[in-house]
Amino acid sequence: MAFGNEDVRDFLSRVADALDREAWDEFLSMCAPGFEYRVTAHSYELDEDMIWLVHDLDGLRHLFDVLPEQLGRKGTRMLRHVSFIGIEPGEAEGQIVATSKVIAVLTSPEGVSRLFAAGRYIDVVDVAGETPRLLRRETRLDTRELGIGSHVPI
Amino acid sequence: MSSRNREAWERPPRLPPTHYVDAAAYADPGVFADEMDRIMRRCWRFACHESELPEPFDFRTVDHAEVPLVLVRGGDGLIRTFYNVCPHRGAKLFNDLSGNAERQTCFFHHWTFDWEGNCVGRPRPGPYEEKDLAAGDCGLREVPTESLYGLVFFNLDDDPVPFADYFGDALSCYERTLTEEPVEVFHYHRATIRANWKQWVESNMDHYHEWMHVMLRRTNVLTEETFFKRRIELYPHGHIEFRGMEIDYGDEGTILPRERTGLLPGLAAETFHSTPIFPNTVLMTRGTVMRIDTTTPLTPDTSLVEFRGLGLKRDSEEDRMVRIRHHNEFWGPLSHNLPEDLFAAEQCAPGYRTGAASWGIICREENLSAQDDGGMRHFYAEWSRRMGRPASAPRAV
Repeated sequence: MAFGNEDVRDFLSRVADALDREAWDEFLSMCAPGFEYRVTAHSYELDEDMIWLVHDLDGLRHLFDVLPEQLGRKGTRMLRHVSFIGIEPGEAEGQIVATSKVIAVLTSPEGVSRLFAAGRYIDVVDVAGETPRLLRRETRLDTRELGIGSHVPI
Repeated sequence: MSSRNREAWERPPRLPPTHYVDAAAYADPGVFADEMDRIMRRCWRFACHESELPEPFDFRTVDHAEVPLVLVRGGDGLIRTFYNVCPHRGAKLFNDLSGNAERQTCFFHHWTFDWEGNCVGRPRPGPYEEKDLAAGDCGLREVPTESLYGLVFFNLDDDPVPFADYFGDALSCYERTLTEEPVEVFHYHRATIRANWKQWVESNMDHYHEWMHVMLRRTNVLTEETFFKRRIELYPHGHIEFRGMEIDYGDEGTILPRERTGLLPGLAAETFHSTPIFPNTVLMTRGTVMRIDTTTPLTPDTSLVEFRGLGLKRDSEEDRMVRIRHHNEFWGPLSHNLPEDLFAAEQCAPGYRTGAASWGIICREENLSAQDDGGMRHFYAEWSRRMGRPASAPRAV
């Protein structure tokens, strides 16, 4: 099945929505076996690229399993606004690379929203099957001050 | 009835005055101003690791102090620290966070300075010379700078406690780790938090707070069997060393196993070691990685915390990835532990800021082992010595 820009845009919107709703199983179901998730940023202090988080599917599963026990305020929500830029062919047949801008907004239990992070998603998507699946996601952050940080993937 | 009315709530604890901290120490603007003058401007403070300026003429700007600073590695290999301002009209001289410049020209009026801080160029200098303002009178302000095991420190006091005396043997446990093989900083991030600077520093001395961390509850750190293997060493000038904490990373699945490969020199895989350096820096190690925190007070209730991760310079790509994963698991901005620690510091601040909380209790005594508060008492003993009054009654009289 051939997937076009609109299909990929729709798929990435659904991925973001699953993360926003903290529907972790739904998010994982949209990832292919061998999925890798990483968060990166460039340090102008060190003039080096940095990796701030890297997980495979199992690692993400464990991360989600622990979340209910992690310290935090109930009712804090993260919303990811994704602006799809475009797709390019991937390294292998049946893969495409999709680039999007992402703005993550954190809302406190009191309902106060603030910008948490800005950056890009660089997604490798498997489009060879019936439905698209994420093979790799790099969240490349421009924002490097994340306040107290987050246990939830951006 | 065990709840208290106002009088009982505000009554000082029935403890020695060394065993509690008055809320004003965290919130009072006068205390904060005195801390800046008597502590921050007079102590040796961590600036960066030498690997952040590896080549001659490399520079690194830092806002660790109340004044902007720039560190420059000179043509002679030495690292010097200057106020990062042009002496002409106060413009920031180095605007990039890092870079390389044998000479630096101010963007504003193009005064130029060499790596020793000498003013070596002023466009159309005649009118200055007519006023007897020679270039030799226009150099940069330099502050004392020293290095130990690659750790670079500055002091805003022109006549500081001698560097070697200030640290004594407090950092000697890191000599092998930091010098046997070249190390470098691979991780840097910062967090501005709504908390007094000491509340962050305390989080690295208060091991009783371990109960808060789900991942420490899962790594068998919190057992009577392991508690008393720990030891708190107290050094002059307020430095502290925590040793002997053993962590069972196990194979539970949620935690990355720690193989014996990739260890930093002198470290064991399961050992957690930390050294809070007075006043605002903490070194800690977890077998494969080292972390350095530096806390900069911004206002009485706002602080900037910088986090560095260090590993071996010779790391292969594969080794570095393992090290990064180990670092990020507990210490990254998206980790299990760090957001919890920062959350705790911020959640403690409003109580002190509003006066709702009157005291911080630091009275646990366990023979300088286990979860003894002796590290915090040692910190506050030095704090009190420098401030000229106890932390239990911190307001100036």
